[in-house]
Amino acid sequence: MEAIAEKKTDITENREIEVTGESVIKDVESIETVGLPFVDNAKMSMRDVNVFYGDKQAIFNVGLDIGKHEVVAMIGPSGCGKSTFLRCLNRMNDTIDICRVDGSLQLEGQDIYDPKLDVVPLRARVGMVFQKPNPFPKSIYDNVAYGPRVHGLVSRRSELDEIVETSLQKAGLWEEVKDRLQAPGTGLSGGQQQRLCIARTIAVSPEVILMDEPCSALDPIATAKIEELIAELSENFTIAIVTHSMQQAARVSNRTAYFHLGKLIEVNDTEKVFTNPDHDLTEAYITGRFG
Amino acid sequence: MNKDQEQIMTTETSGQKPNTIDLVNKNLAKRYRAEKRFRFYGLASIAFGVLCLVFLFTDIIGKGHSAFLQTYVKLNVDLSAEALDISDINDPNQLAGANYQGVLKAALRERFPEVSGRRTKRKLYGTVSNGAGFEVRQMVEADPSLIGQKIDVWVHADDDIDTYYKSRAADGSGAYTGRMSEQQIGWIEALIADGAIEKRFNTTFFNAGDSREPEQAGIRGAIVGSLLTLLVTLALSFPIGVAAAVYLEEYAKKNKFTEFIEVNINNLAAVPSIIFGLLGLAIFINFFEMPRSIPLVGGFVLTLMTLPTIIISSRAAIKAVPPSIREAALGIGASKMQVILHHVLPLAMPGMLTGAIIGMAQALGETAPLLMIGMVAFIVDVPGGIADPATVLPVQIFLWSDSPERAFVERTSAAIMVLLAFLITMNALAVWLRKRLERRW
Amino acid sequence: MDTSTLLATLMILIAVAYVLGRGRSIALADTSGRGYANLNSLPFYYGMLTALWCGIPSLVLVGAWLMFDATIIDQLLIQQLPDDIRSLPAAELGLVLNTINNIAEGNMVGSEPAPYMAAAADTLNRLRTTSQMAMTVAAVTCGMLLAIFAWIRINPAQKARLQVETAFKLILLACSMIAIFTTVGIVFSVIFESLRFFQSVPVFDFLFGLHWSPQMAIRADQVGSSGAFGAIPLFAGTMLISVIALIVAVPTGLMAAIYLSEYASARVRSMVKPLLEVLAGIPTVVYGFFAALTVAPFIRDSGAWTFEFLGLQMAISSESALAAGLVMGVMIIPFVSSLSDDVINAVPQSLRDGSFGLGATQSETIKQVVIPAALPGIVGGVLLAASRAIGETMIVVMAAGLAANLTANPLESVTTVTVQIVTLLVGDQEFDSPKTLAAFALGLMLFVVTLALNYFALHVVKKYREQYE
Repeated sequence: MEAIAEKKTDITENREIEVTGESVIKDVESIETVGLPFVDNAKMSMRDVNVFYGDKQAIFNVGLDIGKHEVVAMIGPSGCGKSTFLRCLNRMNDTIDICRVDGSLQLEGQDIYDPKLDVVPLRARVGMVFQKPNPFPKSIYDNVAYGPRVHGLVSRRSELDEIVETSLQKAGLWEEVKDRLQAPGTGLSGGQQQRLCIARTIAVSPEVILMDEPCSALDPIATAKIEELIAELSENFTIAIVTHSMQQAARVSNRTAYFHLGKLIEVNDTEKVFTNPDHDLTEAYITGRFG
Repeated sequence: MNKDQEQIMTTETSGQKPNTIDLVNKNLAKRYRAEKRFRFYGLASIAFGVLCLVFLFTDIIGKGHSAFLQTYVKLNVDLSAEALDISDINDPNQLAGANYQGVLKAALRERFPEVSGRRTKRKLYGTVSNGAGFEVRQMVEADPSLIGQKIDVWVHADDDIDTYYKSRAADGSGAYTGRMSEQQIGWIEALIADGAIEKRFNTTFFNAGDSREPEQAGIRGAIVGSLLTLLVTLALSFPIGVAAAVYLEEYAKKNKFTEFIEVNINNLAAVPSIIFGLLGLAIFINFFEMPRSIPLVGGFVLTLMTLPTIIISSRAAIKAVPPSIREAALGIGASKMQVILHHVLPLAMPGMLTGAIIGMAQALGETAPLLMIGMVAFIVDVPGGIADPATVLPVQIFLWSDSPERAFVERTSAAIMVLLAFLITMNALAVWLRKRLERRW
Repeated sequence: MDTSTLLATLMILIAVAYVLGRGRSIALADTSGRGYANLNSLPFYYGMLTALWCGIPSLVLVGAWLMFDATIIDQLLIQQLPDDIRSLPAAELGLVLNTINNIAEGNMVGSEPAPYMAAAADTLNRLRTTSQMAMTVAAVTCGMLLAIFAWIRINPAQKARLQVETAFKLILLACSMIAIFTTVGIVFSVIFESLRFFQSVPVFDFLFGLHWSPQMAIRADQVGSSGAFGAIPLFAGTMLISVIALIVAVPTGLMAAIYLSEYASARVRSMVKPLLEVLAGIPTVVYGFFAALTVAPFIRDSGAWTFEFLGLQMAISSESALAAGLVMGVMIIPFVSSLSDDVINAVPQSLRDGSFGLGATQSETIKQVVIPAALPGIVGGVLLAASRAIGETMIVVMAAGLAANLTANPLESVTTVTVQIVTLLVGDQEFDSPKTLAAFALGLMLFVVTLALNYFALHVVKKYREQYE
């Protein structure tokens, strides 16, 4: 395969991409998303989403649905905006002062970016797992119990114990930690920490779980465990996962969305994306010509 | 493409987890109240701090602004040779020793002829400052042709009169009388009615050394003492501090000894300043038998005290110079010393200067260690060098604040205003320097 | 030659040595006809080397001379004194020496001094002149000889650069060791005098005695007047005022730091932070004045009014612990807030994200995640603030009293360790009365306690920082 050199990859000025060898695309601006971005029973639906960091635009006109109990994977080269897009879905971008989001993002018909909407219950419904495991410097038990406690979901200690246990079980961590629930969460291994963070997220019983490259800091064995877990979780939760690994996307997701320089290029059933993509850029990416 | 999406959107019926969100919503109001309360505590804390600052400044300025004016009394003085008790007006010795206090007393007696009795007369003489004779002497020495004339002379009023006149409202009410008798008040009111009392800018305050008499006391001695002390401190602490910082950042290997030095520096930065005073007393004064009360020893003590500050900020400045610059210089064959002298120090200089200024500001405001080494003595003369007995501005403030005379309260506050003005200027200079010269890598 | 002229002379000498050394190296290089190439180092280094040989030993000599000449001259002078004077006790001998010193400097106009004193004053003046001259000669000779020595040794193969760089490094090392010397100096000066104090007052009585009245000890000849040096009331007073200060400063400083780092906009932060820092830059003597003349009378008057209103028979001292403590608290607010600000900012954003991602509100995140995570750092900061409060001097000297009351009532007057140190040492003092030495024993206690607090606090903060690095 010919070596392909990208010339200009600044996400703000993606007027033109020259790819030596075969010319894949001339103007990213003009791209329309191909494939099937929209589904019938959408849990979340996003239309014409634009995201800006100060003057720089990071996301261009993205429209995408996430169906109920579906696992949607978002893939693409570094800096393509997939994480930015994911963070819009429960307004985690609010913590960045210069970030501005346009367009319509709805959770079951409710506008997420409605100024009157309260982010606290929103985030209780749309939980998030982060790239680097970030357990609180508290005990394992307190980490999992944190969400139910702040939201006041339980009134009795026994209920809380139950939630902690089921959450840890669902996250596949219970057997490993049941004897040391009072040990600090930071003392676990990286994979265990990430599963603890997942347990912490599902303890609130969210409807949607957003995962931002949850395995990027983990070794292959821990990754396999998390992937298994995602498959199990998809029975009860709607999941959107950003991943760097195409294999992971192929293994865990029902549908896959390919982002390129802030644009959503293609959304299709995972199998189709990895076997017979509609778009040349998608093909170039999955065949490893850039990324 | 987007149009038909709207039909697809189906709001999910509350099948799966209705519990969670309902519970969340139930508690929401309470949680937001807690949030508001918490924010309020934060805001209140800041408001408290800022209010304290405002209150402090208002209080000091309110008390001290009047000290920049001084009350003067006009007397019609007979400067004849007989009254002055001199025979030869061209003899400087006679001019210096003439009876100036006497002519002032005579002028007061003439103004208030009804006063009789020794004690009452002494009270009357107390209307003008007992340094007033000196003022007349200076006037006569500057212009000997005044001798033989009878002229109006403005002299410093005594501090009691000064306080009375300053606190007196235009209609004569609300005045602070303090130790003054009815009779004295009567005299003052008579003088006021004559227009023989007025306030002028207080040059004495800036030109004189310390004095037991508030109206003759000034801060010049203390300011010069402070400057001399700071000079010694700066001359010692900046080079030593920078040298130590360079050693620790550029040369020192990571070992127990280096760590020991660092622990020492960090601890010294937090040792109470009075301990440095004990050190100065025991080592410099007691062991090396250096004289007390001199800026040199004060400078030594303050050097030891500010060194940690300067070392720490200099190290930060050196650390901020990117390694790439050192590597670039080393790469073309510069020696370590050349790298430091040619590249690291010039680039780190703004940061180090900022640190030095902040250290100096700290030294300028310091009192306790200087009390220990005797800079608390009562010194009238303005010091002429680093080996002359001196006091410093903060110590002067401390001394005056202990004085019972009410007139010293306003002078103390005014001295504080001068001290704060110096400090604010130095800190503003540091901020400006940092903004202006600091490089961002 | 007086000392400053001597120093200036030496500076000129050093400059001359530099020029000569540099010149010789260039001359040596040129004779070879190949320029500087055959020189081991640049001419600058040969000049520096000569200058260092010239300057350092002579400057060290001058320094040492100045340090010790007073002591040596005194010893010589004492040997000249008549026998009966020489055998006086040390304190009286000191007074005699003082008088002689004053006569020698011409400060004793009026009364005619005793003949032996006048003679001794002459001797003193002669000794001083001799010493000054000897120092001048020794320093200049030393500088010149060594410069010539170094100048002769210059040759192209000499590794001048290495030698200069080594000297440079050693000088830097010496400068950084001043920190150690300072600590050692502090330890020795307080321990030495404290040990003398503990010879007359038992350690146990000092540490656990309940009664403090050092003034009684002035007249050592008086029967039963050993003085009372029980330091417990001082420790208690120090604790009381420090605790009041911390009660004011810790919550306020912490909440201010939280608000500024988590809630305030960049604009508000950039305005409020410098304002709070001004509070830290105000000299303590100003706070003392404020406490003594504004806060204390206010507390006394408003307290009196309140008690009258409540019908209570109580009085508030005008030198109450409360006034000093409150003002000290205000002084420490920016200290606590900037330390807390640092540690709060060191808490990684990922922890906040984790909490926000679960739907926690900001205050829940701060209270339950950020503060617990930052707790070690905050504790360290509070300990540093405590050490600051304990060692603070001017506020308590001016606003707290001298009465060593053992009380926990903040409305009464208490005294502190630092107040007593200042009171005992300001003014004339003799270095052998327990009264003066007691100040050093108090200084030792103060040093030990603050050192322990600082060491522990810095250790905690360091460990805390490493955790998130």
